[in-house]
Amino acid sequence: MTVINIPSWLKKMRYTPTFCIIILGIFVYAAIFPKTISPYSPDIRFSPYGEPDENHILGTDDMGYDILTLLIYATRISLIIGVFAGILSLCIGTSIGIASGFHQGWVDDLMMGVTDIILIIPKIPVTILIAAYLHPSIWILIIVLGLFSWETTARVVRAKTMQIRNSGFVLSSRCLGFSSFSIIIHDIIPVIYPVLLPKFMLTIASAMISEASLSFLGLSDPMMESWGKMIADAFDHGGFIREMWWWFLPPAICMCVTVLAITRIGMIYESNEPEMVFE
Amino acid sequence: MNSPYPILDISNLSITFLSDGIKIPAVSSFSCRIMQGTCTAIIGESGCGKSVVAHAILRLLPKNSQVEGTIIFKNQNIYRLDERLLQSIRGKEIGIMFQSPDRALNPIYRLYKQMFQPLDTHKVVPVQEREAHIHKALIKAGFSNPELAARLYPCHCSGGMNQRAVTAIILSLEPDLVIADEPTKGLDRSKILDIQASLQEVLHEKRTLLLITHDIRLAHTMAHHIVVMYAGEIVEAGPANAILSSPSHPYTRGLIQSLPENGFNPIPGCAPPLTNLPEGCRFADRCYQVTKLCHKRPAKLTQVNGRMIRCHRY
Amino acid sequence: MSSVLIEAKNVSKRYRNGLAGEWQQILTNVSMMVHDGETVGICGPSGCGKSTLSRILAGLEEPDKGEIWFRTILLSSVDNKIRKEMRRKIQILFQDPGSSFNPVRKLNVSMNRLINLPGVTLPRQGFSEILHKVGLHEEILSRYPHEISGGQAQRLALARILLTKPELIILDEPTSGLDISVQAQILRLLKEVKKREKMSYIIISHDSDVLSFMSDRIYSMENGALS
Repeated sequence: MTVINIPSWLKKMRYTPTFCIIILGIFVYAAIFPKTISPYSPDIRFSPYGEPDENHILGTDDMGYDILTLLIYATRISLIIGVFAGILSLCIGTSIGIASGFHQGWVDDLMMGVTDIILIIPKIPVTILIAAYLHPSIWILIIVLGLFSWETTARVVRAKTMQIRNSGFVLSSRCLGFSSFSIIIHDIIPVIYPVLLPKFMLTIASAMISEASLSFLGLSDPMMESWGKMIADAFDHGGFIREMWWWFLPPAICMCVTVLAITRIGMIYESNEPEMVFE
Repeated sequence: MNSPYPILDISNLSITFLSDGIKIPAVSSFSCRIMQGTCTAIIGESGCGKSVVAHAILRLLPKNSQVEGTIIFKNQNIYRLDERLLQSIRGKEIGIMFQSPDRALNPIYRLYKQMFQPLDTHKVVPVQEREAHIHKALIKAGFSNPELAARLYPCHCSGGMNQRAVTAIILSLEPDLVIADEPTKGLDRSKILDIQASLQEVLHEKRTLLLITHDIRLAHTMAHHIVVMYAGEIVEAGPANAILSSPSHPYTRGLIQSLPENGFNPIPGCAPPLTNLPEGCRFADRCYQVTKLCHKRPAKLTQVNGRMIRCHRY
Repeated sequence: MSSVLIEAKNVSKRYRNGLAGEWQQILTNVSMMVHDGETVGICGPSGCGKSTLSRILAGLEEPDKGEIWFRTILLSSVDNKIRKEMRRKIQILFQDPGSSFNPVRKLNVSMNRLINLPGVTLPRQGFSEILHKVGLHEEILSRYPHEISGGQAQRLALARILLTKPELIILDEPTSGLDISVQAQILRLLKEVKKREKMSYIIISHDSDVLSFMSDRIYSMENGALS
């Protein structure tokens, strides 16, 4: 049998969902450079309620905007909301989880008390209340979505941190004299990273879906066009009645495909190799 | 007393693992015959292949393994049997004791249920007699009130009691052969004595014991026959007392010398990696009696003075 | 009579599970001392508090009551910076050597981190000298912790500790879980290091043979009390 020298990074990619990365790459490209692939500029209006033809592949909406253009420009909004909410959630959750798990004692009890409170609060009604009081804007939405999704991350990070906190290499590092900060960066985070990445991806996916639900309920910024907003518009402004499937289906499909791709990418660390056991 | 017959006959067992395209010869030409009612100990350092042999007997090797040679248990070739038949053999006819036996109990079930399940699966005794059977086994294990004991959870009992309960479970299935794979690894003296008592009980019931360990003192106390393994091969095999009191192979001699009572004299160096075995004798680099021939050609296992030795000097 | 290196006076420690659990007394009025260049053994069954004592001595935990003296300095009376320096002179070699290194990092990365420690200068020619002292080859650094044997991991952990130039090493069950043949190698190595570097040891083990081979004096511990 021949021995092939596979570099270790490529070996890890054996389970890489290359197809999903390509798809996500397309969406990210559309978000950053919409002008290059969009057929028209988003402010040009044509005749409304147009059916798909050779000029407008997906037809036009009730205000006469080309739907394909809207779709491409909406990618940016949807992805920004998802990614930023995910980052916010990851930062808060990881910090609280690590602080809690590493220092334990009263810090742990305090943090977990706060986490429990946040866990109990029902997200959608509170978001509705906030949207009712404040002028809904994209940043409020990001902050709200981020602030209500960090609890599970915090719990998982805390559990894993507590598990490794008493393992040989962390105790050795403390004994050798490394500062807590150095231990967290070099010892703890590399080990909990396979747990962080899936949680991050799932938070992005769930934030995108939450945003779509909120837009559908009419609670998002009326000025921003996201996929959810497009579906909401389609339903509100007569697209459903006229059976204009080319208006509400494409954004829904885009959303599903993106969420699936992100989730699949978050699962790259799930391989057939046995997990390391800390005892 | 039955006349001794070979309950387990292993011939020319060779096991190779395939990992990332590399072949790892874990065990090479292992042959052994275990007589009923005796205790055979396989000793050697970590990585010498002894656990692999135990897993091979039970056909519990991972998928990436290649097995050559034959293992015959009570006149049945283990590797030709149907999986379902093999499942009935595992536990019922071949009992298994792994490392840290007191942790082998499931913490969320009461003792009674854990002892009942294997009896139920293997249908050792008819339904009406099972409870009595369990109580008898618990008494033998040292619990004075078997009815009370059966309702306990493992966390209510001390480690020693749990471990005796595990022995009771193993013995309640009345296996003919019990394989103990490193049962005393990492334990302190009192726990080792507990386990030794359990293993003695196995022999007391006239069953056969295959003990796999690196603890030479335990092997000395219990075994009738000893097989010494190094880097996947047998280097010396024969009657226990003879080998341990006057070892012939340089490796066995080195092992005996590194015992505390002999002054902790280590064998210099370490075992060769299985992926890069030397051309000649595998122990040549560490042997104090090495000759030029040892580096060139591997030695064959030959019978000398009632034992099998793999060394050019014999 | 050589000078006292470290002394514990009337140390007590208790634990509890969470804010509402019961207090469990682990150490009660433990007093012991180690002189320069001496090896002190602590024997006792598992779970009696030996590891807790070692952690308190090394500074990983603080005792509830009692004092720890390092040479002539009472550790609780000096400020944090000096205390950290003193504490770094006491190191622990843990049992289960395979888990002494970060499992997702290669060993050379783990070893190179020592540069960040104050007071540690890595030898300019790399680790080959220190590895040779403990009987290892330099190529072992390109592996992951799970790819090396227990004996090799124990030696590498010892090498890492030696780089910080400690004065006292606490050996917490240094040979448990290791084969008989490897045990002998590690114990001989520890004795050699002690002679060469004039090290003091506290060796904790349940194995009386190991203790009598290595130590000059033995304390016996049971249920948190020393004798």
